[in-house]
Amino acid sequence: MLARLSGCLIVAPLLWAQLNEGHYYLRSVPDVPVTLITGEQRSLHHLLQSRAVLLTLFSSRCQGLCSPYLLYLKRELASPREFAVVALSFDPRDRLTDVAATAHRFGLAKASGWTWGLLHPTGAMSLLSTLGYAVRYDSSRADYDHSIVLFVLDRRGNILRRMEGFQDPALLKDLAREARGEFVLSYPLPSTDVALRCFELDKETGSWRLSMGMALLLVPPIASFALAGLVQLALALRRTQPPQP
Amino acid sequence: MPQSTILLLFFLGSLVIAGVFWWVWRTSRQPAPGSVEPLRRWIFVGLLLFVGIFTALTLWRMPYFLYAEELPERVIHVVSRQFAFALSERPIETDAEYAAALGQTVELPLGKVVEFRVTSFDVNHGFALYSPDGRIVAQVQAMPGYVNRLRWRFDQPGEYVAQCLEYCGAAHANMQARFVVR
Amino acid sequence: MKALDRITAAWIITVTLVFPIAILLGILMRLNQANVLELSPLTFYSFMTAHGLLMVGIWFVMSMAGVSYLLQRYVEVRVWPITFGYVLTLVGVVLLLAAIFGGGFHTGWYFLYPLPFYARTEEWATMAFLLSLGSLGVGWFVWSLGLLVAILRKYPLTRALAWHHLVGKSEPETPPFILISTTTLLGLVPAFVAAVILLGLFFMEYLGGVKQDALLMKNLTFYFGHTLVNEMLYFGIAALYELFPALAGKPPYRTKPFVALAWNLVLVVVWTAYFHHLYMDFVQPTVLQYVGQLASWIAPIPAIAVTAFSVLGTVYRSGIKWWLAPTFFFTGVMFWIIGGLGAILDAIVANNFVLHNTLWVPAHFHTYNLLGNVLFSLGFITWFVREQSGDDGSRLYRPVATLYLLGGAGFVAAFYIAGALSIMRRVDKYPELVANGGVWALVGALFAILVLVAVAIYTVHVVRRCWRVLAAA
Repeated sequence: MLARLSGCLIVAPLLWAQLNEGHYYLRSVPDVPVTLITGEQRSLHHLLQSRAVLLTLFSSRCQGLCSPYLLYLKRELASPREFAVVALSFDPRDRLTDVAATAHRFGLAKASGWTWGLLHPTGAMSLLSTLGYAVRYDSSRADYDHSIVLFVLDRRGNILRRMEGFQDPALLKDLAREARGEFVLSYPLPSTDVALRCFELDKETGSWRLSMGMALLLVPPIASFALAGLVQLALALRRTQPPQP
Repeated sequence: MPQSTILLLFFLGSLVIAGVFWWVWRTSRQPAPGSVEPLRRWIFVGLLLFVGIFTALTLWRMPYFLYAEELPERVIHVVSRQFAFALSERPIETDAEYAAALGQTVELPLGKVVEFRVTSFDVNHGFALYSPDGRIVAQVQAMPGYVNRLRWRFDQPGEYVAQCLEYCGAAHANMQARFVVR
Repeated sequence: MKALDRITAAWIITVTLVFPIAILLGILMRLNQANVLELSPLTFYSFMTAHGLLMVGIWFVMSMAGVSYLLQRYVEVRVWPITFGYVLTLVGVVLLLAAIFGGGFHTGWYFLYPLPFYARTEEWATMAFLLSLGSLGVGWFVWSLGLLVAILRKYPLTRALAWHHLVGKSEPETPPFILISTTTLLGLVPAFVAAVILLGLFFMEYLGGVKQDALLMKNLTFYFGHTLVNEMLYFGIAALYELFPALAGKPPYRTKPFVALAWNLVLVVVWTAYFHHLYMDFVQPTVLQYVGQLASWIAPIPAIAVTAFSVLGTVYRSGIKWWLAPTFFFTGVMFWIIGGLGAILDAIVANNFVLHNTLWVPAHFHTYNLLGNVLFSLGFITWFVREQSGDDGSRLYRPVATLYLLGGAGFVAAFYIAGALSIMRRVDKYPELVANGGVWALVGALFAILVLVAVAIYTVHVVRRCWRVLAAA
């Protein structure tokens, strides 16, 4: 499992490095039809109406990256609040039962905030090209080579952000906040390893909260009061001692 | 407040202060009984009003969330490093991406909100936007380990200069980037 | 007390000799910016580092020396902490000058993390610089602790802070001098503690390679730097409260309830004022930016209002005899308020957005240092020289006061105007972007030369007379 994951980490950026976020920013996605595993027919924009969405695409038959990636998303986004995770199959060979089986396999068929569905072949083509989602059928393996990308879509169907491959969970949380529609004035970069961090990532809420580094700033004023108290106490104790003969 | 208003307020205020001191200094040459004690209450009330009004007027005008409700038309990633800025529409995460972005020309839309995501690969830098007529219109600091987001709407076309505004070493004065707004 | 006279004279000699040198460094910087001189960038930034640290250093110790001397009117002052502070200050300054001029250390007084690790400096110089700050810090901490103990020995803490005045009692009276000295000494402790943490983290990286959080380091830098500079001004005010009424032939100032309130407020609020140095760091929690703006307004205003009102009330129709000492105090208060106005305008976040790190910043802090805090200390020095030698320097009065005040006002005005024109601070040469920067640099330099002439004349006067105090031993 680990070997596969680390393999993905190297492969994914190499394969899809040509994708340029700037080109996709604020591009509107087509309103393609989607069949949900509950059997309902919906359009993609309908799914976005109530809340922002983190969208990922997969194939039920994928032998490569899809399983570890869905596992990774499950681990990091188990029960999203204020936004939804939408996982759609782009594979024309998939039937609704395949998609439902995948959802069950990951234990996410009934998870709150998760929506599983199947794209129709024509809709899939148009959506994939808008998203810049590279898919190539490899007949020797009878499998697709494809991107692993997570898209943040706002309620109007615009692409706000895209994140490729298995990134640091902190970046994922940042996407989640973006999806909630927050303007986050500033965000820490997760990779730097420092002694005392000012912010720590809260895995539950996906937000950064103040940490030991900032708490350290309380030490100086406390020290001031403590010192004044100590000097006062020391002087009082000396005063109460009987004078030396 | 534009810089010229601030300077005007400052010079007017300074004149009033200097005037009061000059007047009191003049009275000191003719000793006479008298006390300013009755004025004390009024001066304190006046000061309280001054502080209250100014705070009420300015505290809600924080520049941080000016365009928080709007979606920016463009997002520009900015990485600062001794002694150049790299501006790019795609994220800059590696040294190679930084080097590639250095030569890029960036053009920004007039009258639309754009967002700068500013960070640093080495020390603290400042990222100040100078308008074509050489005035600072907005700024943000670039701090290693953090990305600061500055949203701004350019209302004047022309060539802008991003100038480093935090002392960052011997060549700090020449740390600049240029971009065009049209 | 003879020992106290001697150490005070030693401080005065040291400070007044270093002062013109530090001014000269500043003038050379302005002339370089005006393209009259051609200094290398490294030389310029070394001068900048030295100028900032020397100025803050000498006027911090001088204001504290003034308070230490005057404190003997109320409590028993021990001389050894002052001497200890003097010795460690000398050690610190020698290390500092070695690091800057011998090792090319040039990161500015605030050595903002992680710049020292990126600046092309001799490796030992960074170490020497950090040790120098350590030496100054230990020396000044022991000294201020000595003063605090001396006060608390006679005045219990709540009395020294005049809390009984807060609730309307007037007896036993806490003299304003004791109140201000105590709040200032207590206010300084966080600056020392922040410096200890900051240096500790620097050494962690320097010796152990452990990286630090840049936001934490910047907070600590200004916690210590801003608080230290802010408090030194209040030491100057303490001397003013003690000396000015007598100079005007009036009874001493008394601690009224609002005076007690103002200074107790200052004690706490001053610790959060430094947040205004991080306004443009959007990563700083936004609530602290609001606190910063409020604190930056609340910290100076009560102190300024109370002091200005007292001083103006004292002079009004008083028939006061004007000589150097009262003139220094009186004009010092005036420029303190003017500098304060410049400061609170910049402390509005919306204004700081276009003024941060422009010349507006040195404009306002030079106003309340060069024309405020320094004048309070010069007021004390002039008074001290008259006490010791009987000479009130009346021959110097007109030339020194005129040159210093005129030169100082013109010098800071050039800074304010340049700041409003978006001309940046801390650059050796102005980029084309702000081509008129050079003109204002030249104007500033010419006015600063007037100040230098005044200071040179004054220094000769003071050093000769203080030397006799030392030699009398």
